[in-house]
Amino acid sequence: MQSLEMENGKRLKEQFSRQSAINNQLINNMPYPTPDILYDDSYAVDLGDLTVQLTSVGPLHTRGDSIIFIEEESVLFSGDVMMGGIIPSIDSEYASFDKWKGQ
Amino acid sequence: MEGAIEKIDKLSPKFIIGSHGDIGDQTLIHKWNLLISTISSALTEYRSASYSESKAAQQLTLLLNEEFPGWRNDRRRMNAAAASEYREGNSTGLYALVGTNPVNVLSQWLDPTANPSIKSWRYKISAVDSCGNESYKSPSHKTMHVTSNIGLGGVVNVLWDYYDGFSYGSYYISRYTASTGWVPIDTVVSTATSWTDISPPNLIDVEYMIQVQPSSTCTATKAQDHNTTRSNRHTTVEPDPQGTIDLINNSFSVYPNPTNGLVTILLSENPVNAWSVRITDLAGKILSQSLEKGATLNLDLSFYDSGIYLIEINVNGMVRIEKVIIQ
Repeated sequence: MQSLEMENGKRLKEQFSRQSAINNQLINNMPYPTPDILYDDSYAVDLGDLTVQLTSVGPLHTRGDSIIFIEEESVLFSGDVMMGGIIPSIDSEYASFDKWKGQ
Repeated sequence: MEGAIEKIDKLSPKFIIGSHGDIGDQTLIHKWNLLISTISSALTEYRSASYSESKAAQQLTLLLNEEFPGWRNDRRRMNAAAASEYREGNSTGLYALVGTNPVNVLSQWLDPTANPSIKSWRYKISAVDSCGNESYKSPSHKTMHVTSNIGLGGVVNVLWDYYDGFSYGSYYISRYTASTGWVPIDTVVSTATSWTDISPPNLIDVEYMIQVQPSSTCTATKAQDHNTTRSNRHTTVEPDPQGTIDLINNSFSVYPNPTNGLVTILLSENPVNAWSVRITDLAGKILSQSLEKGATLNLDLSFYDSGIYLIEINVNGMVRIEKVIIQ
């Protein structure tokens, strides 16, 4: 998995680097940090007054998307999984309608 | 398997904040669910009816226009900064990114590695905005590959594989000789994939080419004269490659090999034109690809797993491959 993420990171790095000279300069020596915490389905982060629920929704916009839910406020940050107006987000080559609607 | 919609619905969010725009409530979930179900059902129906990709796209657009008026306006207006080009590999339906064009240059991209004389190639494109967000890929376009051979009685048999992309009614066959230039010589139905020239002017310098033309041509300035799609040009008597390809002896070396990741590619000659390099695994999967100039290139392969990879360079159509071992 680590090498897959690095491969994807390399693609994005090249994509942004091509857009401008300053992008290329800033990104050129960018490291590939590894995650501190891994989870398969969901992960709760206790921030004291707030509980942040991270939920994996599978490959939709990228190879592995998560949404962020603030329980106390009932607010969902969907990121690029649900972009404004764009529905459904199935940009990733690993995405499918089944991943969206279930089987 | 639980889908993303179900997982989102379970959370019962009062507010949904997506990127690039809208803030909404739970009604968004039901709206999106209905749209996804509609698209999914339609695609199942089109698949069982063996629709072509372009016909399915047309039908789906009509359906969405009818069922979800304004769905196009709902879409984020992408301020495109670049266009990405994808080419189908050896496995059907699997496309690899092969090029990127800034949006402010001519809407044309020349594939530096695909040789139209060998086979046909299938492409898709997408738009990329300045944030790196990419649109859905377009319907595919497949080129035509033409071959010809000399038949009994001195006729020339011209054979091609089908075109796939826009709708078309006929194949237009053109013939070239040094004295006439390119001349249209016949038209055949769209189901044909061969034609016989029963009276070729000669068998030495004659070439053939196939064209198809869309029912409505594009009038955009950038379209220029690209309102037909054309095959490769094939002659029955192939020229001597030793006499036409000046870089036949060009080779390259890779060092150090084995490597911990950093390698240098050194070409034996300094090519006048840009040349391409790509890294693949032993299964042929393209891991990276770029256009280069000059005789020396430094590459960082340190993020690939240890193993054997192939470095392929293409200089003026001449392809050379070397193995590299990453430790």
